[in-house]
Amino acid sequence: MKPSRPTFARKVLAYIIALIIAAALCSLVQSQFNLMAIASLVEQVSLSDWLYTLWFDLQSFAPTMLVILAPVLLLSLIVSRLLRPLIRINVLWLAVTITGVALLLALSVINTLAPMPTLIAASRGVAGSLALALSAAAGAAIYVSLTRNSLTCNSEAKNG
Amino acid sequence: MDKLIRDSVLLAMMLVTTVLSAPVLSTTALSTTVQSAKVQVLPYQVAIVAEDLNYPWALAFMADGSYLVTERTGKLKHLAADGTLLAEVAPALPDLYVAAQGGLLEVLLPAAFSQNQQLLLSYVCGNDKANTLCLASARWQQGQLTDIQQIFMAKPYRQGAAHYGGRMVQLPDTTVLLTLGDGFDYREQAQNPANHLGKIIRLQPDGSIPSDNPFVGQAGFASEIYSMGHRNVQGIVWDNSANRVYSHEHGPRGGDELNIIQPGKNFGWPVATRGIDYTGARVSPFRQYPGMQEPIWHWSPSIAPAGMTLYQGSLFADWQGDLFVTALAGKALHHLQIKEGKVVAEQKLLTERNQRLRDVRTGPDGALYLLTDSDKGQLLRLSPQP
Repeated sequence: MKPSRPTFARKVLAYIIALIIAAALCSLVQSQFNLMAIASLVEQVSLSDWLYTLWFDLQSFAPTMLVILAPVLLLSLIVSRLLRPLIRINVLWLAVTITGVALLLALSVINTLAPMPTLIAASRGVAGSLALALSAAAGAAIYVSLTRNSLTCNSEAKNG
Repeated sequence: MDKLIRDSVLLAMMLVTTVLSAPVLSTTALSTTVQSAKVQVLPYQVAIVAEDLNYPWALAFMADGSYLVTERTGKLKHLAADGTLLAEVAPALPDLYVAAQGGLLEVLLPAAFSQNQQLLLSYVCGNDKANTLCLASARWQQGQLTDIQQIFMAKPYRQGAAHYGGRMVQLPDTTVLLTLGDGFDYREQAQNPANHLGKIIRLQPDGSIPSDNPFVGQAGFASEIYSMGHRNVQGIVWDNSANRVYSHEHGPRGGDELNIIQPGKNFGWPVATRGIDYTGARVSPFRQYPGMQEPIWHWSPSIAPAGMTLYQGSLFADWQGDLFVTALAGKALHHLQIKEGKVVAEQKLLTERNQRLRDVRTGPDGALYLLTDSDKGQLLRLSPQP
């Protein structure tokens, strides 16, 4: 069987899935950093309060991350596709690296333009910023995996 | 002949249309009149006293009826009672830093001003990498500021030009309460008693620390602290009749608060809040928390409260003892009716002007004076309809 390139529809679907998962991961990161900061100020944050905050942020904060991540992920994937012939590294690592760096740049630009010093509380520190960048990078990894699978399966089928 | 008939029909149709639309037109005219009449029933009138003020921030009244107005961009203006500019100075404040929310903020004329001409100025000092709120004393003489001395600097320095607080009120014992913001990125520090971020502090007019401050001598506590757990307090007044301090503070998205300040108390930020981050993220799971004071009133969505006065003037008999709060984002003057330390009703005034309002004071003549927030800011006088 001849290996086939993923269709445009499949790419779009993969992008949407990657975007949603990356935004959800960023939301979980934001919640965790916030909750840890609050937990350091009080005696205890109960499990139910912890879980409720995670759920609240998934509904209320994740949409903000969707808006930020949508162009970041799209541009990163396009750039990594264009650089692929020039840089001889695995396409997965290329996309992951570019997306992670792109999110850090986007946060920097947002914080420069926004009236407040830092828009996303979790990104006030290096650890939180890197965790958000990793979450965005995970989105890139998911996209690459979803769009490469068909090729791999087809190749495996051919080899089998 | 056909043309004549067509013209006649057309004329008739126009006539009928005009006759039929007359009641509609008259109704429209009537409703406009009613609308105008509604606008005119406002129990107050507003006069523009002065214009072209560059982001005016605070207002103080001189004994001769003139005003001192600070501009956040760094100038102190002396205006006559009719708004005429008498003097304009750019005080040589040590390390003045003007950016975003930072710059020259409050001017306070302490009770002893009439004897020693010494006033207090709160302002932001430092640079874009390291800045904080500072307090200076200065002597006002013949339209000039002399003998400028920095008497307090909030610690630690922070980065970013937001959430400085900066309002002041003098208590009957002559000590001064100064409000300090959390620096935005440092909100958890509002719960750290060792520094000044997110606190209200109490000082003598010369900057020294009163010996009866609530945390004097306690290890791990900054001795200047009067209350803690604040976000960005930009309105504070003393109620002489009830021996009470009211303050309000900006919440994030929702959760603006009106509090009754008591010495040594913790007002909760960022642990107990009704607000969420601008991004939609939750700041804290808690709206209340044991040991932390709850507000007596709150605004969600936020109005961005920026100034406050307790009305004890002579012109509005019905407003005695009520609070008036200026709103930046809300673009209104909020009238809070107070009964025994509780808000019993709220009414929005000046919404018809659609202006960001920065400060409000009760004038010696009983009128309310307001500053609008823009690069072409105005000083407004609100008085009863004649």
